[in-house]
Amino acid sequence: MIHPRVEAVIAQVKETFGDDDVGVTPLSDGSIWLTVSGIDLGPGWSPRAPTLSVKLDPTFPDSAPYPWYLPEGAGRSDGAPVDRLSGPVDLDGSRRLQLSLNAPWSSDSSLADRILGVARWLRSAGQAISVAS
Amino acid sequence: MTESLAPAETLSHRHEVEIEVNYRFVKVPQHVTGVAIKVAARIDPTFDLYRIEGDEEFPVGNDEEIEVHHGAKFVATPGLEPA
Repeated sequence: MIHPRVEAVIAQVKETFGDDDVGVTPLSDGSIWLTVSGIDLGPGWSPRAPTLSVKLDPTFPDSAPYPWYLPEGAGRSDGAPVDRLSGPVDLDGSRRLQLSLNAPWSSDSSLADRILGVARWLRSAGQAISVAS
Repeated sequence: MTESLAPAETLSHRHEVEIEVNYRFVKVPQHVTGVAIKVAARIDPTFDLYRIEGDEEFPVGNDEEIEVHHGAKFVATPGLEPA
C-alpha cells in the first residue's frame, strides 16, 4: 500500500507526464520504483527518449528522489561517456545506468519538476556534443 | 463619430495567450517577464526557465521581458548538480 502523501506526489507526476507514461512498482520494503517514459532528450541521445527511473526511498517525500536511472545501453548518440552516468548496475532484477544528480529537496518540492530538471540536464549533455561535433 | 476606448483591463485580457510550462497550460500576458511566467505556473521563482524551440532551449531571465505566442513551450527546473 502506498502512503497517501506519496500517492499525491505520484498523481501530480501522472498529471504532468500522462498516466500511460508513468509506471509505479511498489516493493516489499516500502520503496517504490517510479518510471517515466516518452521524455524527449533530443538528437544527442540514443535512444532519444529512454525511460527515466528513480527508486523512491520509504522515507520519501521527506528524503530526496536520488539517484536516477536509465536503461542499460542508453547514452550519447556519439558513444562518448556522459558525466555522472555510471554502470550498469544490477538492481532489483534489471541492469541500469545510474545518474548521480541531486539538488536541495524539501517534502513539498515537486517530483514532476525534479524529473523535468533531470531530463533537461540530460538534454543539455546531448546538445553539448552536437555543438562540439 | 467617436470611437470608444476599451478599458485597460479588457485590453490586457485580450492580449493574454495560453502557453505551456512544464507540460501545464497557463495564461499570461503576451509581453511577460520570466519570473511572471513562473508565478503564473506556480513554479519556484528560483528555478531556471527555458523557452523551447524544436530541439533547442533558450534561457529566459527573471527580469527579461519577452513576447510569447499561443502554444509557446517553456520548461522551468531546479539547477541540478553532480552528487
